[in-house]
Amino acid sequence: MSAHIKTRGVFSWFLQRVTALLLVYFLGTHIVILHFIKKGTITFASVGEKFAANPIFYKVFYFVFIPSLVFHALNGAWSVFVDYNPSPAVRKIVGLILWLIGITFTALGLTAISFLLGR
Amino acid sequence: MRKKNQLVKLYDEFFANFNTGMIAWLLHRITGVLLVLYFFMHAFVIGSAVRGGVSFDAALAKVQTPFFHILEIGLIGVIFFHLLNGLRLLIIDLTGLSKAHKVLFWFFTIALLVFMGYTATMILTDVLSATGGHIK
Repeated sequence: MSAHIKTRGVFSWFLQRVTALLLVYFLGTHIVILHFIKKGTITFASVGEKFAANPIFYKVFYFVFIPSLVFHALNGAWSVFVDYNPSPAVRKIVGLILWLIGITFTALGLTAISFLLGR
Repeated sequence: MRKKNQLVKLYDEFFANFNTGMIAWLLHRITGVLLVLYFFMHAFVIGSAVRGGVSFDAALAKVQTPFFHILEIGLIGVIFFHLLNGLRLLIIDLTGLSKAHKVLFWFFTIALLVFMGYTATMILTDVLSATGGHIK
């Protein structure tokens, strides 16, 4: 195993912990707002109204939250996958697929938030 | 052959080291996988916002039923188990409290049960009052 691979592993190990701490705050707040404070049905209008009250806060909130969550979820999936000792070729393919999924879902999430913010 | 041995090894190790740490490890992994699967469903529901308000409201209406609200109790339980056990791992990794890992496990387990008792009561009360006591 080359030093290069080891370095990358340490970096993602570290980022997994950093995003974990971020998610304690972001996911905790997300759940409290949507399941404990909210009352009534959630609609496009009700979310838009809530966002409009504090657009900069919500924009920054979700633009940090979504990429952190996508990284944490897919890097977690990657470490489960690597635990079963796949061959280097399979690792490469799965790694590439996870990157594509990550970029796609981050873009989808941020676009959805932009639409809910009224752009 | 290599893969099979790896699985057998994991299986053997699980029962050879059956204690709080191993239970926490397994539950962290299961809840992690469940949350990744949930995240994709969540992305498809909320992602409907890019097709406009009508699509968003239609998608949201499908998941704001008594059935889904009751499932949300499970979702919140899965999230907060993963969150609290993750905090426990961070405390063990980054502070000198690794010897207290079992105490931390039981402390967070009790905290989770109390929190989930409150959450389940709150959600069930809301669902029952919204449906007049009838859940379809």
